[in-house]
Amino acid sequence: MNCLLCQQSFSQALTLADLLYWRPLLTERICSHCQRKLQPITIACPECGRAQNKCEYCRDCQRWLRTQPDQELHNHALFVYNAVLQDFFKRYKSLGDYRLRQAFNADCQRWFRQHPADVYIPIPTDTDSYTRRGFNPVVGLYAPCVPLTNCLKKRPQPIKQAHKKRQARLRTPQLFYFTGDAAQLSGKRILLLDDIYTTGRTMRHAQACLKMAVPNCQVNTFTLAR
Amino acid sequence: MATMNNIPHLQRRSAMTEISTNWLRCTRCGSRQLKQQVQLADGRYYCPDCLLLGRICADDYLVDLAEPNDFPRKVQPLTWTGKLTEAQKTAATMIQQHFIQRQDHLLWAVTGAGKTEMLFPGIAWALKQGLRVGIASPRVDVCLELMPRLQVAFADTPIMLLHGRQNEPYQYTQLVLCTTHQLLRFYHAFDVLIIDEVDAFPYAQNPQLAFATQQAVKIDGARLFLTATPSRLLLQQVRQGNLALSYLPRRYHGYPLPQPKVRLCFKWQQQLRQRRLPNLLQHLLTTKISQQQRFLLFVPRIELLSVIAPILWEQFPDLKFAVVHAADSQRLVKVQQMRQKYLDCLVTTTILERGVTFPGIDVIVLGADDAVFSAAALVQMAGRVGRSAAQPTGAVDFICAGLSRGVKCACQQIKQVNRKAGFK
Repeated sequence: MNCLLCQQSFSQALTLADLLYWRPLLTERICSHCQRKLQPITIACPECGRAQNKCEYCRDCQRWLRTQPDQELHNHALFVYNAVLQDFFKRYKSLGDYRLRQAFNADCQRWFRQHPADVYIPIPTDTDSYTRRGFNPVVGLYAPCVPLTNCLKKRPQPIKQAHKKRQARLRTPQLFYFTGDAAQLSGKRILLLDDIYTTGRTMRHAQACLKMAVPNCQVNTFTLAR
Repeated sequence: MATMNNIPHLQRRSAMTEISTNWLRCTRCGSRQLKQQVQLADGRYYCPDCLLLGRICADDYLVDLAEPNDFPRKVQPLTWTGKLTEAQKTAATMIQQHFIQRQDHLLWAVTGAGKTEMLFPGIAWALKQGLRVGIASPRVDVCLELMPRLQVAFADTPIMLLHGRQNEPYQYTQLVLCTTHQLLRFYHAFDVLIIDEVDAFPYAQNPQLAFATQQAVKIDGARLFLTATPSRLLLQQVRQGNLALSYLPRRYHGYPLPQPKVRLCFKWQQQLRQRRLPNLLQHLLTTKISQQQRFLLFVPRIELLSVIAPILWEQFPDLKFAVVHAADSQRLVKVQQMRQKYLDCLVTTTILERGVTFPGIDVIVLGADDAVFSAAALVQMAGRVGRSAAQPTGAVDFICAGLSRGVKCACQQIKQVNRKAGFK
């Protein structure tokens, strides 16, 4: 199999545990060489999942807690958003190489197995991006791992988040609205899924939108990169 | 679509064509794609192989304008004043002949034969005829080096240089210099297309690029392939009669190619791992350094560079050397320093196997039997030696733990070429 990131051919090394556990084998799509360039997050800010030396609120989250003390977020991110991942997202989202959606399936699946939730909700894209790309990058990343429930919609945006400066991103008003069945979600553990956590604006809007629609649910969030 | 219809002579082709129920062929890069692997979430199909030029989907169209050859006729486009040797002149007329007959042609010229200059009369003829000329090379470095030389040689002709990092907007010019990847953007555009270094990475390994050269040239156009080490595939085409072949076995200064010396050294890898130089290499380096002979030391892998550099520091504290590899941001600076003789030695990988000229150097290839060194690469590395007329000889040493096909093939090729040139 060829590594999705560097295109070199490689073969997956099986561990004894892989053989002994009676469950489907996770196929790696990234070679060990590229795997080593990724920085998995172990110790992180409990709020946003940023990699840190100590488990305490990072500066961004302290500011969030000051402005919105009643909205707590519990985000987990798998990897630091480093050069390798930037390149990955450029090829996946900007150039539109849909094959790359499988690159992190094994890593995500492993985490979802350890931290199960009742409902998985992906962050939606607006229709413009969808017609241009031909796919929703978030759905592409997570659809093979867990069953997704699409119950959020995004209002059309004049400028994309990625093209804004930090302050402009933070000023963005609520951009989601709820379209699903609130009764079905009530009392459930919900995991919101996105690809990258940058300022936290998107995630907090999505979480607030869900909480408005379904008051008694527990919402955690998950991103591939922070 | 409305604007497209306003342009006359515009030709449309579907971006991908179905070749069977499960397979699609990309019209731009010619690659075959399995439908289920390249399907987007909305059901469309795309081509992942030429994605870097911008994604195309099966329902897109490629449009092209027929090349009208409406160029202002020039009386004397060639402003180059240098002189060709007799051998070069023969090859140059041969090139021009094939351009006139519009035939595909392979020119097998040894490293350091002065290939670029030989092209000038042919290109000048084509420009005079109002033909569109493209010159492509697989390597950006080669294009960048070629550009100023072409600008001097054809001072009155605007030249567009195209490569992946070019920021200038595209301009329609009669003479185009580009990397082979950029040829994917052209369709039946060139009357004459010259592809330099066809044996180089990535052209040799990439069927997509061979397809690109086929598409970029007009149906009745002529292609010229230049190489010092033709691949088996090219030679096969010659045997089948699809490709004319001409040789230029002699270097421009008339000296033979240096014959590599194969030196067996069985445990060089283990010895390096134990942080010491193999005796053979130690001996070679000591003699070269005592004779103040400058040299290039090639190693098969980037990791070895960081192993060998500290040992060299320790053993030869007076040796001024630098380590160069593909991802090195200082690469151009170091090569420049070597050229200006600030450095005595470059330790490097295959990245410097071609396109660079240092006068009066020797070459040592450590681990010449490694799989990364193809016969072509070895011939090219040996070809770095004795390129200047002032110092036309030098030594090439292949240090290997065993004879690989590549090493044997390279030595044989050099011997064969020298024999063709009339030496021994």
